[in-house]
Amino acid sequence: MSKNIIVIGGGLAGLAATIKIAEAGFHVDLFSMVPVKRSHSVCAQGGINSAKDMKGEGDHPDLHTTDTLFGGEYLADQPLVQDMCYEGPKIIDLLDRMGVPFNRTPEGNLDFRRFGGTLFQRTAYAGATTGQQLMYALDEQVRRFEADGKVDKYEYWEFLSAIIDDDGICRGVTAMNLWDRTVQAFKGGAVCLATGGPGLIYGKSTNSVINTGAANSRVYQQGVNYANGEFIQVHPTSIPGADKLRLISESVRGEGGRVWVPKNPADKRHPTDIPDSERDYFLERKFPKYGNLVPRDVATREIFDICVNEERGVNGENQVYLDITPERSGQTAEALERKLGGVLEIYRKFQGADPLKEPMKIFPGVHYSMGGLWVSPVDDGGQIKQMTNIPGLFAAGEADFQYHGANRLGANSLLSCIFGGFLAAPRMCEWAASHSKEADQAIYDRELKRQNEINERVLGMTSGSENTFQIHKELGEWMTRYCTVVRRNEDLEKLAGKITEFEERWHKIDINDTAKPANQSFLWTRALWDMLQLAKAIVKGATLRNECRGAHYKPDFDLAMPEKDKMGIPTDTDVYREFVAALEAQNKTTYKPLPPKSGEEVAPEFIDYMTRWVEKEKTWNKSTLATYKEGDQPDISYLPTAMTVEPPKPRIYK
Amino acid sequence: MTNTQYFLIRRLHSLLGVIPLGVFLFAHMTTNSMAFFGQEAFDHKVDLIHSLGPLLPFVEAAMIFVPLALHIIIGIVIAQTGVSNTSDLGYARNWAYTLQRWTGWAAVAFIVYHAFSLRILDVAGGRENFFAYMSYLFRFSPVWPVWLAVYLLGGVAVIYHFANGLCTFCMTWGITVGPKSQKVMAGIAAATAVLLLSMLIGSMIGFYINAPAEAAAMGSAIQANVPAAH
Amino acid sequence: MASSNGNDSSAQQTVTLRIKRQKAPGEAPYWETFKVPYERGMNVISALMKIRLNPETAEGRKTTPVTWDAGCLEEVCGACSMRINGIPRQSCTALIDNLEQPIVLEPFSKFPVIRDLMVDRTPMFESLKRVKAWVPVDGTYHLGPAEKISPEMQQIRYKYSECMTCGCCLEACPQYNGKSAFIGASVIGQSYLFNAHPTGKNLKGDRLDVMMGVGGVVDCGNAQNCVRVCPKGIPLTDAIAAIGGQVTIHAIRKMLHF
Repeated sequence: MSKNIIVIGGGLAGLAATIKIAEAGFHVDLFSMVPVKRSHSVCAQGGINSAKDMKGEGDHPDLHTTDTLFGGEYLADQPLVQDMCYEGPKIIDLLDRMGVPFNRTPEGNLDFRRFGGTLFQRTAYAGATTGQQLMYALDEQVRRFEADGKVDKYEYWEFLSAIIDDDGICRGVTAMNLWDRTVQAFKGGAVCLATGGPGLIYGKSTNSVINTGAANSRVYQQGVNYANGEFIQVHPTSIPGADKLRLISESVRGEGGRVWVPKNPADKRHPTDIPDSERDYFLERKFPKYGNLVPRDVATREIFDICVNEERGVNGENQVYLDITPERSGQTAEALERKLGGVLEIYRKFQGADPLKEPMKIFPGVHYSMGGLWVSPVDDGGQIKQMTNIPGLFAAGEADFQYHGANRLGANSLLSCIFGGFLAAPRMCEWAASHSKEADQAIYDRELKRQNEINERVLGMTSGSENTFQIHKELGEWMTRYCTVVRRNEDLEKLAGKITEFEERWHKIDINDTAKPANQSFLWTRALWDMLQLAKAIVKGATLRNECRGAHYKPDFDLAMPEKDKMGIPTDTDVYREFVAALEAQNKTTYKPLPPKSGEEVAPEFIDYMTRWVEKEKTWNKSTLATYKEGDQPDISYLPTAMTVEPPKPRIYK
Repeated sequence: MTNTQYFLIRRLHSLLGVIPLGVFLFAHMTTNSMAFFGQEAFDHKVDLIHSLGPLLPFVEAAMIFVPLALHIIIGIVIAQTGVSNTSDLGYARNWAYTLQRWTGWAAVAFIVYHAFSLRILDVAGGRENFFAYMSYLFRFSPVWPVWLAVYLLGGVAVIYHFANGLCTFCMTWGITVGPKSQKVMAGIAAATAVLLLSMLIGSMIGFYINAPAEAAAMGSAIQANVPAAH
Repeated sequence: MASSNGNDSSAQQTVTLRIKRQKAPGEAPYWETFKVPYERGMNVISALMKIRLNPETAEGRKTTPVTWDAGCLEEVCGACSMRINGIPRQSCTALIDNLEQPIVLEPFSKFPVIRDLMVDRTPMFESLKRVKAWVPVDGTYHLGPAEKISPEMQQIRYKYSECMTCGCCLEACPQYNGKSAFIGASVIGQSYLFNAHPTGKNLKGDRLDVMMGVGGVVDCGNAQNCVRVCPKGIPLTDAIAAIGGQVTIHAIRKMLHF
């Protein structure tokens, strides 16, 4: 039995882990709510980062590391990010060998394009459906192992719980067949959750309908710590729909797309009739260096600010233009079609307009969770990389937490998913081999019984007045309103109260359906409870984190960086670092600022800002750790961030 | 059955439709169309074919009857595997697919009747009476419009089946791969169909207008000889 | 009542859907009609989402929410296939404004129904195994960069690689049904995709063996519905013809043993 390993989730991370495990000679039981080929990784559009430096720009994995850490505002685990960035080029080569149809240069080399938060062309891509193409390549390899009998797929099976023995070690899982509701216990020498993010907690997001986060929540409720839950990425460019928000890839800006609003908010002309002189390309205006390719959190806040605070959205609505027409992007329609076809097609099909003829109308949408299940960043002292605090239970992909800090850079998620899966796999094999003693059958029976009881309880919910989908809709509206781009403590407290109310209403649900086959109402009701538990962790983490960092923005705690010209020093932010180092060395207790080595006169605003910034870093550069408490708000504790690669510096993209 | 055997059977069916059956169709229609120019021209052609003498039955068997029988048998098996769905998906090629099956059935019925009556039962009483017999059917038979319709519809079915078959032949064998080449091929096939159709109509007109004197009297002779033919 | 003309949204207050439902595998199907409030830009998915908020038929009778398969809702996952007004397609891109009402939703007819609009498309994935639709890499350890590939070949392969295994091509195919073993256009497209890869083509012979046999490309009837209904516009008929050509050469080689 120790030769059997369980992977939950068939997205990039799950498949990457599966391939490595099967390759190592272990058998894999792979569980997925949908056929693995339909996992949410297919939605990634723009590309995958790796510093292969194939454009002669002098790119290097170290620079990739720096951009990633800086982009994530130094909350990511530094050695792991560094490892990931060094593995990047090898992962690209592997994917290329597996047949991913990456776009090519005329010579036949991999083509690379720019993405947010970097000045290098570092993103390999396959049209604008890179995630789909990567997924398919891994799916094909897994199918190969499946044909050889090394992998068994359980598709349309939902993970219910980890099976934990009396020593607290994970020995397997319970899972439910979605087509006939049978629950089974499965034995595994190690278990990996590669179950993605919880985007559905926000109702409408760019996520697939399967991204409830329920699996993560279920192990969280079993004792796995949930880390940095409050860091939810809101993607700057999506198109609102009646059923979801559809992602418009960052690669549109990478290929020259420009974000703008009319200078005159009352301008009712068709966008193509508005000349450049009457357009406010506000990202280019505010960030001359990075322009439209500032990181996502920054771009999102600016678009939000233009629409909500300045009320300058197009036609008075919450939308801005994203212009990828050949005239404005400087590329031919044919080239744009080749590089962005997939995303242009989405806009055409759903909006009925051609982005190559007129600007798209977009608005930010909830997209990605930087946070996730806590896993160890080190192989040390009984801890194993990618393993949660329940021994034998691993996590990888969006489900884990340590690669993106407070904000993920575009095109880093595909890399982190594959890297995380690859990192987890050999450790899982080793764990399974060294914990081969058969566990007592009673622990499986016990958990099976518990899950069947939960099912019975939910199936008995037929006399209430609440609709499970209605509660979810409201949860999404509340979460989106109060826990996304701008967060205020009074709102978050209100939100926490509301979630408690949702919990009460949950008990009054009428599931409307007790049938056995594919009972989505029943399944959703189970998942909704778990979503509420995770929502509580997200909201409490956000409430307690009184600072601004990456995607987590609280205006009440904004340090308000002084204007560039008032700084008195160049914007090369490494100078700040020297300044911080000097400051640190000088006085560890009072942080009396010293001027930088440059010898220039430093504006008092800057000294004031830096003092407060250093204070903030001392207080808040740490990961939130939520621990589940039944029937209550979670316990929140904090873990320091390892700064072994580079010390932090203020995040400026101007 | 091995994969290779199955492949050969399917490809044989496809190939037979063009060679020799398509070639024969052309030859046959050329002969028939001579009727337009009068009985002499027609009989001359028929005589030319029959100059093969004792070899003729073997040539006919090898080039026509056996290939035809194989094409029909395999075709009937193939037709069992399809379920037409033009009511929901009324695309042109989907109709072409469905019609290929319908015309296949129609062609089988027509050809079996046509060959059986003329070659086995010899309702005309020898090849020298072919012309007069056809003239009788199309002009003097009490139910002559029926015969006109039978031959016209039977002929059209065969021609459609052949022309569309040419298109699918080129797809099946990987000769026309893209939509452009397939469009060109469809044009060629349509032109072929028009040519064959004009031959068909020309021959029918020929049998009608060039009817020999004895044609009118054939009715009673046929009825006396082979009543079952009607 | 709602008009099918989407231009006048004020007139379009409700959307009417007729849904073919089925309680469990093997049971008899039945029809139910639903009315949901119209919303600008809504698609079939959002109409189904509205039904489950208040699962009641147009006659006001309480019923169970409709079960259907869905994933990304942006036409890259292939989950939400169904027959919409008779046409097999993805329900996410089926915008209400472009559909005649009542909108008729049916499950795919060529696959076993699990419940309502959800069907079991497992055979499609099994077929991918049969044709070895993968590149036989030696392993995931580092072996340096892959072979260069021309941009032209990349563009051809990319198109086929967009296949989501959604099943529309099979549902539309008159040759894909219970009476035939035909493998269907999607798998033929995948065979073409992998035969066109510098390493993938190492398994070309195995793939063509399948394509030669019962259910292989030779069973295609050239109705070309597949290419008409493919949501991704994949040139499936090009692949069918090209594989037809490859199979011919393969068969000759096999018979002559060279």
